[in-house]
Amino acid sequence: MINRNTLFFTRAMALMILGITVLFSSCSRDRIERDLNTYESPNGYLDSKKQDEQVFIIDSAGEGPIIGNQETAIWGSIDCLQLPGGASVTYPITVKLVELYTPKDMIYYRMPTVAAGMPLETAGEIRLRAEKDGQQLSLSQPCAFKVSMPNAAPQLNYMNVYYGNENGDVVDWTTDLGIWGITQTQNPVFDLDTIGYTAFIEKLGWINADRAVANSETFSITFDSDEDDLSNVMFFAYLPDSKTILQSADGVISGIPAGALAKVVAIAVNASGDLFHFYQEVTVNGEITSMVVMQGISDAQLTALLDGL
Amino acid sequence: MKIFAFLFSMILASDFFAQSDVGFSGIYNFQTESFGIGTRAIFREKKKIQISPQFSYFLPFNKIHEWTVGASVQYKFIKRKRIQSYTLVHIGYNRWVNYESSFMKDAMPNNWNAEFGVGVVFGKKIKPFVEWRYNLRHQEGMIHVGILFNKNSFKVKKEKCAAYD
Repeated sequence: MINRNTLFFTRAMALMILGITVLFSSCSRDRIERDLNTYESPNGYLDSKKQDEQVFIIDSAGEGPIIGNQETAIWGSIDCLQLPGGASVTYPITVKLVELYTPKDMIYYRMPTVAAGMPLETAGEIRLRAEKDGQQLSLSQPCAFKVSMPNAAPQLNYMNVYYGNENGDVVDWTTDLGIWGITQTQNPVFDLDTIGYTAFIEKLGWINADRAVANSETFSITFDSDEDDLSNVMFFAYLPDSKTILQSADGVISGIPAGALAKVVAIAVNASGDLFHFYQEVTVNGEITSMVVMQGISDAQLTALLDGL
Repeated sequence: MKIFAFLFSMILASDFFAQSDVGFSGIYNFQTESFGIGTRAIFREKKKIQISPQFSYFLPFNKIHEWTVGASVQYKFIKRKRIQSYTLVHIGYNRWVNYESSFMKDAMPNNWNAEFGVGVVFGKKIKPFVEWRYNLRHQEGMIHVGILFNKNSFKVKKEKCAAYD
């Protein structure tokens, strides 16, 4: 026979199980939240499309230069390289090069041309690294490598040497070598040669032939959508007049000069791996809110779109 | 809405009050993050199965502004001295005032809601209660916290004077 206490606790347990079951059963916030299409980060797709890092094994001295696939030329001496701690380096060494000369390649590599939030006009970005037995090498001071970056119509005394300051996934461009404790000894302005722009660089890593975009005022584009969850959508803006690449942060692209034409491209991938995009051209004369509707697109179509920026 | 509130007040003020509990509550809807107020009567208070007409109003400052009038059937399944537990099923007419501002594609101003839940009542005269309910239509959980009164709630116990015994 079941006594009163057993019955009480049986009922209490049943109540608790019912409560917990219901508490964790499906609850909906549909009345206050949007029922939006969701996406995953497009980083995997962009990584699959980005420029390969070219690897050169240097096993003896020579005249040079090292020439990349897109005709970036590099001249340097092993005497200018040092191991971490300052020790000298012996052959063989490995030199690695990434070349980004088109808006498409900069977008694939997620390498906007921004210095401290201000837009830069670019003639191309490269990443130059050297290794010895897996250890990163640096340039000893005062020493420099010469680089030439291809350009069809270079302008004298126009582009400056900017260095990439890597902070997590973000690369901020700067002309200030002092932040790495390097005293500048070379002319920071690109000269011209038969290839395009040429300069002596005093630090390995990301290098950019850049010029600050002259402007008195900048504006932002804020992205919103009634149909798509934009939290994993990546937005880029290409400003063709200044050859500037901007990338969104928290759904906002900022630093767009007043009056600039912005070609906006959004890229995302859904859970099935399908590619989605949004494209818009807008002249920016004030703060803008852009209403986004993501649409499916093939890889070939998106590649063609980026080629045409 | 005023008509319903008036009728409800009349019921509470009627003779039923003498045999039943009446009360009010604060309500929080976890999914819509909205605060509301409610009022109710409970008939057949001493019985295992009770009937409870109810009115709730979610205030205009909330994301969801609405009111509901309906009735619950409550089944008292635990009764221990000053604690009673019950399950309930509630059917009500719902007027969703600001439905136009919702992102729901099929949002409508007039709705029939069904809810189920469990509750606990404490005490005998002034009776605080806590009730958890689940709205089947909108798949939302909410908690009601309130107080019930009955005819004995405000009676002053007569003190006898020993000198007159």
